[in-house]
Amino acid sequence: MKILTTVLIPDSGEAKVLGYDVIKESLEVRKRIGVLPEDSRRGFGWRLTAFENLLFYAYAYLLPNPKERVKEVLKLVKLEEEHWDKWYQRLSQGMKQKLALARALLPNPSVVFLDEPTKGLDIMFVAKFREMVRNKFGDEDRTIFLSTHDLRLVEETYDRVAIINKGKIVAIKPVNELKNLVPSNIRNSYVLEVDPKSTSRLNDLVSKLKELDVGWYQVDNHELEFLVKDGSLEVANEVLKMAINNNVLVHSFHKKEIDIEEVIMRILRGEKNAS
Amino acid sequence: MQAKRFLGFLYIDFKEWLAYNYELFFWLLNTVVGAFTYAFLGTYVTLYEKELIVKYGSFLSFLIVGMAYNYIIYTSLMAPRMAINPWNLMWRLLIPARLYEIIIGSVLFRYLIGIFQFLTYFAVAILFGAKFNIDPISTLTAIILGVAVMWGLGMISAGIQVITKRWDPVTWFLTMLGELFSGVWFPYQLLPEPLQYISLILPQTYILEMLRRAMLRAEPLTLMMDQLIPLVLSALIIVSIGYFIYMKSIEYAKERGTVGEY
Repeated sequence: MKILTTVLIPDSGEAKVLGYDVIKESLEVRKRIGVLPEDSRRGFGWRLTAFENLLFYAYAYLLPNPKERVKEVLKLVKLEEEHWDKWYQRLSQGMKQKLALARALLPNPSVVFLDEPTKGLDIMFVAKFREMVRNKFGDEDRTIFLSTHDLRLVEETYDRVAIINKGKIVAIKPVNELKNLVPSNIRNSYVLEVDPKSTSRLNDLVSKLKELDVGWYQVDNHELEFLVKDGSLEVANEVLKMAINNNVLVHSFHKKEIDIEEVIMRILRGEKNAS
Repeated sequence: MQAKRFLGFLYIDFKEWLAYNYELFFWLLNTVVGAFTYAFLGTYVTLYEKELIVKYGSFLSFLIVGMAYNYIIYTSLMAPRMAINPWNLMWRLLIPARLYEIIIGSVLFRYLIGIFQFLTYFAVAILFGAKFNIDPISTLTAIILGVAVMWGLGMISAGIQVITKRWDPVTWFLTMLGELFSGVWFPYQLLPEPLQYISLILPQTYILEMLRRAMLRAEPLTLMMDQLIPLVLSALIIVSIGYFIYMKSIEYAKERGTVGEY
C-alpha cells in the first residue's frame, strides 16, 4: 500500500494507480488519492483543532474554497459540529479516526487507501464505518482500497479480495467466489449436533454410517460432521433419521456454512481447490 | 521504603540514558565545553575590553550580533531536519507538492520568528546604548551566505540522521563547538593559539566575522573579498553536497520503508 501511495519506492517492478506510474508520476498519483494510514495520528497538530488541522491540508492541496471543503468532509464522515473546534488531543479515538478519514477524503480522491481503518475502535464507529465504505463515502465511482484483518469488514464491504501471504498474492477473487477456492468436501458437509447425554449413542451411529452413502465423517465431542456424495440432501436426511431411530437426542442439523474467516485460513494453509 | 522507590526511578532513567550510545559521552563533553565557554567569557573579555571597543564599538554590540545571528544559524542548521520530522514526513510526502515546497513550507514560520527574535535583540540592545554601523548590502549578503552554508550543513546532518536514525555528529560539532570556538560570545582570537585552529575550520567563524564587519563597521563588500570569496565557494560546495545527501537519504528511507521511523 505504501508503494501505491508513493511513500515507498519498490525494489523492482512497476506499479500504476489510475494509469499513473507511482515513481515517475508520483505527483499525479498524489493528486488523485486519499490515504488513511495505519497510524492515523501522524501528521496532525495535537494542539490544533480538528478544523484547523484539516484547513492546513486544504491549503496544502490548493483546494478552492478550503473552509467550505473542510466543512463538507467533516459532515461526510459524520464528525459532529460540536467537536470541530476541539484540540486534536482532546478528541476520542473514534473522532480522531473520523478526522483522519476526513483528511483522506479532503481532495475528493478517485481512490481511497485505507490501512487497518477499524483497528482498536469501538463497535459503534466500526458499524458506521462499514456503512460509509459500503456507499464509498458518497461517491459511487470511487475506488476503495482497503487493507484489514477485520474479516467481517471484508465480507460486508469488499467487491474483490486479494489475499496476501508472506508478501505474495495467493488469491484475487470477488468475495462470493472466494468460497469456491476451498475444496468441495469442506463446503458441502453436514453437521449433526446432539445432546451431550447422547454422545455414546452417537458413536454407535458412526459404525452404521457405512450402510449409507457417506464419504467422510468426523466426530468432535457431541458433533458429527459428515460428507455425502454430491451433497445429497436425501442421504443427509437418512443419517438424521438413523440418529433419531437410535434414540440420539438431536440438538440441530444443518449444512455447514463456511465463513470468510475459514475460507481465508484454509487458503493460507494451502487447502486451495485445484478446480 | 520511599527511598527504594526513588532508587527505582533513578535506576530506570539512568539505564535509559545509557541506552543511547553517545548520550553519556557527549553530555560530558557538552558540560565541559559549556563551562569553558563561560570561563573564557568571564575572564578574557574583561581583560581585552579596550581592544573590543576599538574594533567593534562596544562589547554589547559585539555580543548582540553574535547572539542574534547564532539563532539564525541554529534555525538554518536544524531546518532541514525539522522539515523531515518522521512524525509529519509521511503525511507531507502525500501532499501533491514537490519536496522543496514541503521543506521550505515546513520551515518558513521558524524563520519568521527567527527574524523577529533577531530584531528584538537589536532593539533592546539599542535601548541599552549599543551602536550599530551597518552596510545593508554587506549585512544581507552575510546573512544569505550564512543561511546557505548552514542549510547545506543541516542537510548533511539531516541526511545522516534519516539513515542512521540516531544522533549525528555534524549538528553537535557545529552547535556545541560553535558556541565556544566561532566567536559568538567573544572573539575567537582570545582563545589559546592551538584552539584557534578549531575556530578556523568552523564556517560560523567566517560568517560571524563578516557580519560583524558589515553591521558594526559598515564595511562594503569590496573590502571583504578575503572572506566573501571563500564563503561563496564554501556555500556552493556545501549546499550541493548537502542537497545530494539529503535527497539520497530520503530516497533511501523511501526504499526501505523507514520514512516514519525515529
